Amino acid sequence: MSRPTAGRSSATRGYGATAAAVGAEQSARSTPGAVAVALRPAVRLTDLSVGFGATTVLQDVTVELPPNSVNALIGPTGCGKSTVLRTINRMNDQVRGYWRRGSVRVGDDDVEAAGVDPLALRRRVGMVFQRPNPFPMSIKDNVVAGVRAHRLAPRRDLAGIAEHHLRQVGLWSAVAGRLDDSPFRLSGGQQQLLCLARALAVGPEVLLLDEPTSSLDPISTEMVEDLLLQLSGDLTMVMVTHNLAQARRVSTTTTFFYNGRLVESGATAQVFDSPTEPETVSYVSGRIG
Amino acid sequence: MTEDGQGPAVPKHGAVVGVAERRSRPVGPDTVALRSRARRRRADATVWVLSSAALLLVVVPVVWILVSVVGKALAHWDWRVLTTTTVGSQGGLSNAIVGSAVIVAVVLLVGGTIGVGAGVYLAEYGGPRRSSLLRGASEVLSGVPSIVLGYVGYTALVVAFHWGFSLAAAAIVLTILVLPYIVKATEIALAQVPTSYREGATALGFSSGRVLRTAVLRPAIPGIATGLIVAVAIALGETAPLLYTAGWSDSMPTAHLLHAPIGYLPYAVWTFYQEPSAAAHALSHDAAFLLILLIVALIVLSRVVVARSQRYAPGRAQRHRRRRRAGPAAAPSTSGPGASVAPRPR
Repeated sequence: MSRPTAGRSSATRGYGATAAAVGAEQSARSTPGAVAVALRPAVRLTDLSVGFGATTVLQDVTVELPPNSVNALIGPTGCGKSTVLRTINRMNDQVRGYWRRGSVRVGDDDVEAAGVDPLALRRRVGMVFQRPNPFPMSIKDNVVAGVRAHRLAPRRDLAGIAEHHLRQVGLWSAVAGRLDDSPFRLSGGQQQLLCLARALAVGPEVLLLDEPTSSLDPISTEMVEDLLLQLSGDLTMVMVTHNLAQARRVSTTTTFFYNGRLVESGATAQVFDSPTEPETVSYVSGRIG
Repeated sequence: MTEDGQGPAVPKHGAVVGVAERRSRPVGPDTVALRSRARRRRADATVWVLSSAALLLVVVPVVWILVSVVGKALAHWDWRVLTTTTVGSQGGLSNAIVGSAVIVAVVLLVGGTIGVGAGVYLAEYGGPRRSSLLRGASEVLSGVPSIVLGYVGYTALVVAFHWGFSLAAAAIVLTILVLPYIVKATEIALAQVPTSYREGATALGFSSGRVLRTAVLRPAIPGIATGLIVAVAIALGETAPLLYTAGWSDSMPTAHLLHAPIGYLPYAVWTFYQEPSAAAHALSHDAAFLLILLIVALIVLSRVVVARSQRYAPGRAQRHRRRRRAGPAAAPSTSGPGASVAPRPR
């Protein structure tokens, strides 16, 4: 338990300005009864427009996502939800013709400011994909792949870190005896939990989830959802989902996108129970989408 | 061919109903089903016969070659072939064995490095224009007859550069010869790595070099290794370009890159078979036998490499899982994560 914590704090030290911010957030976390929305937003999109070549995918999106929460992004296919995620961790950088206006902030830092290293940013902002994508290496090596890449811990600590994060995602009892096995012998749900452990092992501040349960069976889905709720105590998550019931079950805030525009954003209960925009009403009631 | 035997009544597109109509005889759905089932069975049998014939066409020559080469060599086998050098057209083959090994090792080192590098460049870094240039050059190279490469090597390296028959000239020509195979195999192997590996590694903040190493090269190892082993097999068996560049030597290879002719196994097969003496023929058979043995060893080696590097590959595990699920004791497929620890399939 103690070792990974040490690894995490030493990792945070690398980002001078953020370290203080994270410290502030952590003190806020420890205050019981603190309202999440009252805290400084963890992810802030301001007048964000994104496109590829002549196509505009997102238009003038402004939203603030509170820390230590699950934030659901909903909307029909092609409305720009996944693009939001990929803009936050700059995965779009490599895409031909990508352009952006407006700003994306994680904590206080503009993700595309000069001097921001995308590799360091992606350590702070983890990502889990729609289909489980473990690397072709042993289960244990998968968990610590990021820790190794960023040199967050000495080699002798890696086994402990792997165990800690496998326990964290509830996979330890299932894989304890076969840490050197191929991850592809696990079930789909177990593989996704492994990918979550891999993302958590580098100690991210924000976790992006791109339909994390859409390829899983109901029981695995429940396990992932439980884990997300558990993690929301001290991690900011941004989750794209097509499953409205899931957004309702898991998320703190919900943001609804339609045709590249942000239609409505707010506390999940409010967006689902008393939406103000007609498109939201239609979507959450199942009339469009 | 069975279709044609049916006569003109069966139209090309197999519209059985159409046939029935033309004969203006009422045909119930049962008759139609029966007829199409018979057709299916005939088609089935045809395909089976044709593919079995194709299999025989591949297997019979292989077995034939193996049996005749091994039989001829073992008939007069003498272990001293491995330890003594050639004397004229008799003696042993140790000089040719070591010579072939040295040539192939240099080719593998030089050609492997350049070829894998070029393949990685094509698959990962090259822009469309530069890639198509490199790819085109590689394809032209693979089409050049080996005798032409040998002649170019002779006029340029052996004569114009005054290198003489030498290891350097032989290795360079053979490297050029096998490069296209290595480049192509590497490029294809890298292109087949699923995008999700790259995305996962990128999203974890890996540098592009690390993405390449951990998430792309590793799963591509079987493909690259197969390409390298094909290259080695080709280098081992080529004769024409070596006649022009390596020459031949009765003595063991020296440490000299230049001005030192070097022996190699295919030369022994080719030259000694044309000599009139029984001893020379025996050497020729021994050399052929050794070459075949080495190639078989290489194939086995490649299988081992592939099996080892695929320890963590998805395809293999999925096969395991499918087999297990298909078994009579298959667990309910909805078993969630952590629900049960499946036994290790070993």
